[in-house]
Amino acid sequence: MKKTRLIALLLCIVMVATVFTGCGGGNKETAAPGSESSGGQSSGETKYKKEIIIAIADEFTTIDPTETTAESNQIVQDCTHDLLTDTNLATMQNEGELVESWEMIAPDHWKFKLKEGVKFHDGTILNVDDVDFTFKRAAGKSTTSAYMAKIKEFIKIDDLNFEVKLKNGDVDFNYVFAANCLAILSKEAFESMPEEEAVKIGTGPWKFEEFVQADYVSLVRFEECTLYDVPNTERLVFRMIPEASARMIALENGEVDAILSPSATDYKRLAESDDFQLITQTGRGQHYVAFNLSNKNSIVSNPKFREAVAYAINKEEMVMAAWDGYAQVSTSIMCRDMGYYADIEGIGYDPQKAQAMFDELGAKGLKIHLITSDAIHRVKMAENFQAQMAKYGITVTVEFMQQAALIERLEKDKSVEMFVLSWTPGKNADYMFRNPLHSSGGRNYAYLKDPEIDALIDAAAAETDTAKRAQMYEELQIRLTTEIIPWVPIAQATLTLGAAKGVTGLLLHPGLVHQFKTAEKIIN
Amino acid sequence: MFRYIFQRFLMMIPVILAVSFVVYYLMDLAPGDIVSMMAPQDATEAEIEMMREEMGLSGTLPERYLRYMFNLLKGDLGESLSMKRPVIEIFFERFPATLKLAFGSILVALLISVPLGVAAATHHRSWLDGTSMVTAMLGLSMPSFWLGLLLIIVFSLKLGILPSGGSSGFASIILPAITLGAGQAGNLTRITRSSMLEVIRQDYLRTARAKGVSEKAVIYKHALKNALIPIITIFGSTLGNALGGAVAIETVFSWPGVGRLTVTAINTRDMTLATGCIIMFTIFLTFTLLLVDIAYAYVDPRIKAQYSK
Repeated sequence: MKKTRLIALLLCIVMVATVFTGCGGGNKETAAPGSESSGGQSSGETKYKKEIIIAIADEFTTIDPTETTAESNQIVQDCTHDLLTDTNLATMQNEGELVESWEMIAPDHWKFKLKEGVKFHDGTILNVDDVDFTFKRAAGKSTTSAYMAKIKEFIKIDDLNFEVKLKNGDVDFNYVFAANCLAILSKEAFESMPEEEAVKIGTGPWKFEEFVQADYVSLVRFEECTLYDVPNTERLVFRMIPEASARMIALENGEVDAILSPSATDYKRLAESDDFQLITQTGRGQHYVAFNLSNKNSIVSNPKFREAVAYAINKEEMVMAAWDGYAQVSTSIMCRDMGYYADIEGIGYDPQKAQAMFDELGAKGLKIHLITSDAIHRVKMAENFQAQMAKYGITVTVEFMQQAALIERLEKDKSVEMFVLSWTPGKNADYMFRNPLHSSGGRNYAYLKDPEIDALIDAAAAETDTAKRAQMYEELQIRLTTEIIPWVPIAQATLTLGAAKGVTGLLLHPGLVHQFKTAEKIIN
Repeated sequence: MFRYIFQRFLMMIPVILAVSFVVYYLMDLAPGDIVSMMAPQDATEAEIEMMREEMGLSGTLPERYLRYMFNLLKGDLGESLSMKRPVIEIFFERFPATLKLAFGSILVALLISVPLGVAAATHHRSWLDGTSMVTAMLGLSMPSFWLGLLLIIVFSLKLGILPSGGSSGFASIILPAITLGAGQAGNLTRITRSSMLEVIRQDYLRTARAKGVSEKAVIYKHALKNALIPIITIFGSTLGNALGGAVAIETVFSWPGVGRLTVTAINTRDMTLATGCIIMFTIFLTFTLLLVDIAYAYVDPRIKAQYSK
């Protein structure tokens, strides 16, 4: 029995020691987020909160911009690293971030000039060699190699000027440099320190401080930042809280200052509260109900049926069901905030016309199968669509699956009839159409193979006259939205962020890489 | 004894082989692939194919599995497809947190279940016995996800005395350990009670009482010691449950453990990371069960005698 006692004692010691050792020391706890949130930073008359903590839903996994396309990583990297060009969230235009100016000598020949005196976190000054180094490194990475494959030749003119010759002409090439995975890195940092340290060196107003896997990543302000004003906040922390309700509780508790993607059920509470605010922005994601045009055995291949469905859908009702009203109804396939968007009328809700068309097609009693992912808004969109179609005597069976499974099904299963999906074009007008609607597009799940549409997309992408280009994109929108109808555009969902009252500088990006460079809170 | 340990080590090999094959095969069978999810939305078909090639995902399933196993034999679990870092490195960064939570929850479970189980057994068929069993059933049947949120609302939001999540400081482990420990406590209470009921009917306890030993000493010095032997036996499986059951708790409390990592890896179809995590779990659990068996042999002379034969 002495042995029993000994073993029991040893087990207890192991358990207690494990719990306490893990919790007591180590670098994980030395700079715990939230521990310094009181107190303030004086800047003239105004005092600022020292630390701003933002709760994000997905995990941050890497500080290396070239290794990821995940928004949860890019949100943090946007604070520490900069791009050659970027979207100005005030004007929604592609503007220079690290470049002063650019010139399209020809669609396949571009000239760029860097801003002068931009300082990296390691103290070195940005020059063309850093851009060249970044591009060469990016060429060997799976995430970025496709971008780099567009470039035929990189020509250094001097320390601040460079030219790029492309394999194929691209009148929107400046948008390529707005890809977050092409953030510019310091060549000298890679020569003087290990790669895992060098990737942390950027030109942004925040410097990387600490990363605890699946817990938090913290940044400290870059006191010598030359590209932006030095932030008023000393420390910026991103805490990873996967559960929406847990994020909301953390905000209510004061453990965090802002939360990304609050639950739709909390929108009203945040918006009407005296202590919190709900920040909104129309997202660029176009949510739609789509048809598989290649399925010739199904009625969905008949454009008249697709038109009837477009007339049959009450988009306002669907927006209420899926987003509690927090979305903007779409009239065009193209996303509203993009260049060359034409405010076309589209196909409005007309149940009588829809019924007449369905009757003409003999669609009463028809059964249609629709697939979508298990994301909550898609589930609600699909269910609402099912209910709306039932009014016309059409039975819609719905199948839900994981996003990865949905994509594979859309890629491989030719018997798919309808699906609910969204498309978030990151950059220019061409991206809106090329990949999801051009016959060579990698995400053309509607299997639209229309030579006229292909030719129009290609011609619009190559057109240098903006007026003619605008005309082409308008024609594309009208033909796709009202004649061919591979998708019925439903809405662009509103992006939301909950924050404590008084926190400013939280900018929602329609493309989901939200910007927190100037996050701050005045406390006096 | 050494022969037995050696045999157990050998038995681990087919277990790991079987687990690796099943996990690898199932992951391959699951619809969807990581390349489509990771590729930029504007990537063309050719670019997606190029990514697949660069990530080493080309080739047939047997080819890829053999390649994977060959590297595994060299102790290389591969590189995470989504994080682009060695799986072993990622696993060991996250494993201490899971282990900490597992031990914390077992500690909570023991602190609840032993006194409750003993009280139930010594007051057999009394109101105390009934209450203990109802409490145990409550612990067993309450969904941990729901209990976790409830505890957060009470202790974080209403009382403001404990953090709602994260892993910074001792205070942050209290709520997740209680949530995970509650379920285990239910099970352990029932085992302690039945084990104690069996022991307190033994002759040697009657003899101890006859010799004038106080009732407290009879129960806590003589009976409990023997009743604890089965608890040691189930320690391994409880630890396994604690590790496996930690997924929901890690999500609710934003706890940076391996459970959350594995689920994320499965959802994103990060095959190497998911397979690596599950293989590491298997190795850890097999070792734990072996240690428990050895410990059991030490505390129970009958088992030790069996090994000696």
